[in-house]
Amino acid sequence: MSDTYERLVQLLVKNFGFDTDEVAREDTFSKLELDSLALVELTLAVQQEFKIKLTDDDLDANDTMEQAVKVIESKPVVA
Amino acid sequence: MSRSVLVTGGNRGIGLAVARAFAEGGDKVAVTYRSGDTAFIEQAGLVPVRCDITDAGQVERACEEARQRHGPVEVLVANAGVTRDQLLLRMSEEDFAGVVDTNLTGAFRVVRAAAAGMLQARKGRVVLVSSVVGMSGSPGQANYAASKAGLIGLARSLARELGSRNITFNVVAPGFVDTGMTRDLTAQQRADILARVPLGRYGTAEEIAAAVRFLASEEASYITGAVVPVDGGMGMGH
Repeated sequence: MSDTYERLVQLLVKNFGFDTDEVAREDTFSKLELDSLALVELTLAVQQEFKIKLTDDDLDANDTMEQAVKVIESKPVVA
Repeated sequence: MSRSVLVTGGNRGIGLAVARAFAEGGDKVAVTYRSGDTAFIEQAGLVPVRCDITDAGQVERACEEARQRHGPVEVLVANAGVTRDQLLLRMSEEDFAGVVDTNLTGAFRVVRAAAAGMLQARKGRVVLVSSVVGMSGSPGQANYAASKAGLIGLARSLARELGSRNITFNVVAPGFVDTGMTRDLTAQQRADILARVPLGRYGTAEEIAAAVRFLASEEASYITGAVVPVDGGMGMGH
């Protein structure tokens, strides 16, 4: 099993001050109160952490954490 | 504290004075330039980066080069600017759009390129170099004044957008400064301008640089969205 979800949670912990147990797989970003600017920041952080390229629309406020994991895992790693 | 500083249009005039002021303060400074000799830039301890500010790709690469040399840009001074003065009825759309493309859209391009690093660092200082005529207007300079006024709206929008991430955006509005750009004026134009300056003299590029450096300093941490005139009093009331 991949650790993508755990790494995504760690990005939220590190960048936005969440506690690990405050985040659940079914939570949407909007439920987590990440605003549009925070989603831009998360997109940058995800790109760096996973060495992938995301478009501006890949992480949506209405996406759940689980959906975001699928998006991240669908992207090819770039050098 | 040595920060990574990027100054656009840093090879002459106000931009060069700004770059030197940061370097003298111990910062690592890269300057973009469009053309000309760079030996004196390097002698001043600055890193020259060739960049046409109207080309988004070149602007991205210039930021990347600054990052590789000095780390992510922490202080950005958008200074690159041109004039193409002409009375309205003789001003072509190209005269207008070209000046806006360099002075206003150019600032947007470089801010966008540098902002990602500042967002990640959760800090950043951006100073946009406008002009007193952005607020007062100036006959024959509709293009230039419009572009310089636009910088204020740009800075204030971004001050609101990114304030929560500890990134400040401020504007310095120089008045009449003795640089290459103002040497094209006629003697009569210069005399007319001086008559409107309470301090009764031209400013120096170093006097502009001092204000820019302050706005980028730790001491200015609670200032954002401000327009600081450095104009000998010329623009008072605007």
